[in-house]
Amino acid sequence: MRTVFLFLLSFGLVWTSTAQPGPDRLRADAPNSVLIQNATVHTVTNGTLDTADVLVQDGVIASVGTDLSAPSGVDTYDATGMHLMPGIIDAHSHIAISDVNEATRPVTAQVGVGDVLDPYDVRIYRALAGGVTTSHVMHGSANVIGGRNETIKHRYGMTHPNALRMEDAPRTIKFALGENPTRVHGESSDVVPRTRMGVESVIREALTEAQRYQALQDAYDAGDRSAPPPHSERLEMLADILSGDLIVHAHSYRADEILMLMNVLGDFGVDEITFQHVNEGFKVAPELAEFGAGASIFSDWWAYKFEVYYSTAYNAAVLTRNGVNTSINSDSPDLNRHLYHQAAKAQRYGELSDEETLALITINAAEQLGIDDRVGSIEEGKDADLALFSDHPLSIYAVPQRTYVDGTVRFDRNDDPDDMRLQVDPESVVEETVVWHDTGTRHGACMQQTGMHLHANETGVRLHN
Amino acid sequence: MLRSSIARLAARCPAMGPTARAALLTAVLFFVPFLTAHAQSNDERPAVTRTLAFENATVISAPGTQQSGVTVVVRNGVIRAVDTEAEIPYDARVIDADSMYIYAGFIDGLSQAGIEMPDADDSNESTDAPSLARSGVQPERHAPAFFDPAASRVEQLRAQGFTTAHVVPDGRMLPGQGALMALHGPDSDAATIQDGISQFAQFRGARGSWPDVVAPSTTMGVIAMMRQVMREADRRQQLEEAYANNPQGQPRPPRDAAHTALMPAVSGEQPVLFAASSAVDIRRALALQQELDFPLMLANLKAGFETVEALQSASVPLFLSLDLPERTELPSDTTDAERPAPDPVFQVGPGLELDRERTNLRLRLRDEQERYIAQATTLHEAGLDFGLTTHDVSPGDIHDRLRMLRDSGVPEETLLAALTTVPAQAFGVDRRLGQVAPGFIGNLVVTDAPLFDEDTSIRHVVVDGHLYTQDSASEGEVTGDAEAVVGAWTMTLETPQGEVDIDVTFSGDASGLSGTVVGPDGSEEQIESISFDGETLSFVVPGSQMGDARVSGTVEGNRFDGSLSAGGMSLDITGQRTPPER
Repeated sequence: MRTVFLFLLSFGLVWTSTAQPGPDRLRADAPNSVLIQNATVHTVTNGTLDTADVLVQDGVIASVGTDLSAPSGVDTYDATGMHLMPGIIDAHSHIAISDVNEATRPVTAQVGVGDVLDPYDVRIYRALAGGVTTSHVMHGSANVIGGRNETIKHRYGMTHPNALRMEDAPRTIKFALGENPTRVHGESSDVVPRTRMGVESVIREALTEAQRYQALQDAYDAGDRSAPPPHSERLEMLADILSGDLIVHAHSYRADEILMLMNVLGDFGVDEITFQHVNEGFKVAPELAEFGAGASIFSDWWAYKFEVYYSTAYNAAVLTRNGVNTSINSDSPDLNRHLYHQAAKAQRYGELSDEETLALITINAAEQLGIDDRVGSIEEGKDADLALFSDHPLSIYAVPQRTYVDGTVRFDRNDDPDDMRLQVDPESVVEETVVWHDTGTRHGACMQQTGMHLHANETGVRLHN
Repeated sequence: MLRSSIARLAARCPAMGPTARAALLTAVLFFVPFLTAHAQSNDERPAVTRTLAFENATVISAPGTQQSGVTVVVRNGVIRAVDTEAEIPYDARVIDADSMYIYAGFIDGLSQAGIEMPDADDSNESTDAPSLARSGVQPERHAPAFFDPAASRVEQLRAQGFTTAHVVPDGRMLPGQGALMALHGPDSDAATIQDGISQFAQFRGARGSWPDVVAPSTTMGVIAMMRQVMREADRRQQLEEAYANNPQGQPRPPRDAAHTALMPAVSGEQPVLFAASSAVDIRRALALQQELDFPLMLANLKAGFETVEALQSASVPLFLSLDLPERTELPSDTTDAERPAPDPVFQVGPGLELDRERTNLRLRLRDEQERYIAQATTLHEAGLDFGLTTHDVSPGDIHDRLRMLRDSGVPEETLLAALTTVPAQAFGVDRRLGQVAPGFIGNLVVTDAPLFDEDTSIRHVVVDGHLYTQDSASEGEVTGDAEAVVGAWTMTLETPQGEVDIDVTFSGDASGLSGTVVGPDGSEEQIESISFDGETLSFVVPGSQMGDARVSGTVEGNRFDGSLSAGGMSLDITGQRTPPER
């Protein structure tokens, strides 16, 4: 009876409810021009300006200075007491994609995570809540040569996957050295590689095969062959590595494998690479600098497997002081919201300057991704990707207030509703709220006798008195 | 002669079920000496007439066209007349339809009804160098090879008014080619209306689990593999053309069944039908089409409301899923008189606001469900045509779902078009299917009230001129006095070759009846779905492979008079009861 009643009721009322998520989530009509006034502006490339203004017009930084005035129709935002920095760039992430690993073969260059972007992923919004405006979304590290990565902008609210892509960002591809590919393939499937020697041979074989493929293709194009070679998506991509159209980003930890890959790429005439993780980078910092390789590292995360024991929180400082372009990444949908804290740790341990430290999560990452002409610093003419903090972003007390992408506010701590999901699974149920205090000491021990308790639901966990 | 008669009889009763059929055969064999002359004399006469005349019906010949007092004549599987003045042929079975509505048989845009795939055996295959088949690339397969028109899902869809389905093989990313199948027939070949309707595709990686899995294991792997096989098929097609023009001195081009089967899609002659439910899958299928330039159809859409503009500019045939979400009940503290919209700017305040937050989340979920339910409305209002698919839907829910679509704002005319003319056009058979008009294939749905009304029942379904009559009583429901039925019955089935006796026993009471049937060969079978309303007794003798035999008739005292229908045939059956002793 009740069901019938609800049924009858529902179609009488469908028309009275809002069928679309409100503009607050999609930000379809949000402006992309703004004058941010009276902030402490960390330009990263041109020093720090006290009580300065940044004028954004049509998504681009139009001017940076003092006492700027807003053209008619452009809103102003009073950021007195706040700190403005370039939108944070996460050089290693796996958010906003449906798949991470095509782990089936040691070489899967034919796949790309850019084919499976998911603009509905709420983790994009959570990254924005940490001031992150760009992510280098990477294939996983199960394979020696994995798939292509995608550099995205966090235009959360736009639901076409292409809207996430950072136009004209150089194409990159994931390599992985060491224990991951040897465990996934050598140990579990009994194929090469089982050792670091095997990893090297897989790379050399793959690139050699690509050279032959390209030679056959060139011969056909020159009219020396009657037929093109059998089409291979995999070899097409590997050939793009050789021609410099596809930049290698290599998951790596140990100094020996880092040297190995520089030697191998050198043999094949490839001169551009960024190493990811690079926990032993401090051992080979001069060699990395000489090759011109980038290093994208963790601040202080290690010892989660055997090859990651020899590590140091001074890695960022050692690499930086040796002239290696260094960035700090998250590789995590949680850590990416705290990249400014991660960078601050490098300062704590390596005594880098504020500017050097902020560069680790902005301009340096932009250079590694080949997008430093557009993002990574607050300069006139660059994309207006900006993060506004309540305090100095390297202070533990800093709280992100607003994040702009292309001049549009995509995170607003004050005004955004709690529920920022763009999509809700219609088959899901709203989880019953769990008040941990009510479940007894087993789950709530840490909060006993505090007069506080946590409650959790779809929007997160909160502490209440 | 005799053997062939028996074989023919058996073939005419294909959907009767092995037991009933075996019983029938045994009976015929047993009575052969007495029946021979009878059988021979009847040899030239059709066992059951294939001429039907629905007299004086209200006919909806095409969406939006309704006329009363019309007689529809179907002969040899084809609609011969749809006319107020139609002449009824001498051999027609006449059905009084003066309170009935006749629609064209429905067409399911994507179905796997009747499809049973052989088990894949890859025990000897290496995952190191997997075959295309192991990777899920099997475009050389054709649905009719795996289709059984007697499968229960076929029967269930037919009972809901579907007479035709675009049936696709089951598999992984490229399971094979779809065919337009009649949901009726002695075998798959006879049921095939048109093969090669589509190349079926889905974002589904190769089977198996780690480490016994091969590429593609992910959606991005499927997309890469689509590029690989389509581009290689394109290359091979060019090589083949060059070789055909000038074979001398040239090596024969490489050849395999899979790439050859993809060539029609590559050259634009065969559409690739992608199953794409979610918004991202719809985008991915459209992106692949843009990149590889093949004709596309999209099917099993659920979140098409998210991609309206993309669908408008793509302008491809669409088949929307009837799999709609259940509506979440509203929170108890919400007044049902007016369902409020969720607060779009809701923020938890400093106090504990669990109830408000929960309410708001439920309202949001409900809003989202309404968007899915209103997908068809949204696309219709955006000027998009669409067909429908029953994939993932329980057949018994289909008409409820159709009414949900109507109630969400899709005009009934549009819904009927989605079931008939739109798919007919998309599949290029709109001169044969989708209308009740002379010259069209004899596929009809006959209802006792307008199609989308709440209590409408489908009374008859006609496929290729074969009549399927539905029981009016709901299945398995005993509302009459069970005492009038229980006991031992001797039922006599009148076959073209003579009478066959079957022993039927019912036991039970008003809470439900059970029964058994014993054929002339002594084999015993449980009867299912027994219903009795005090007058009409109906039951089903289940068949495992060939479909069920349905018996329905009236009980008067100890007499039963009715018919047995199976496989599109209808035979008279009578019975005499010996009531149980008190």
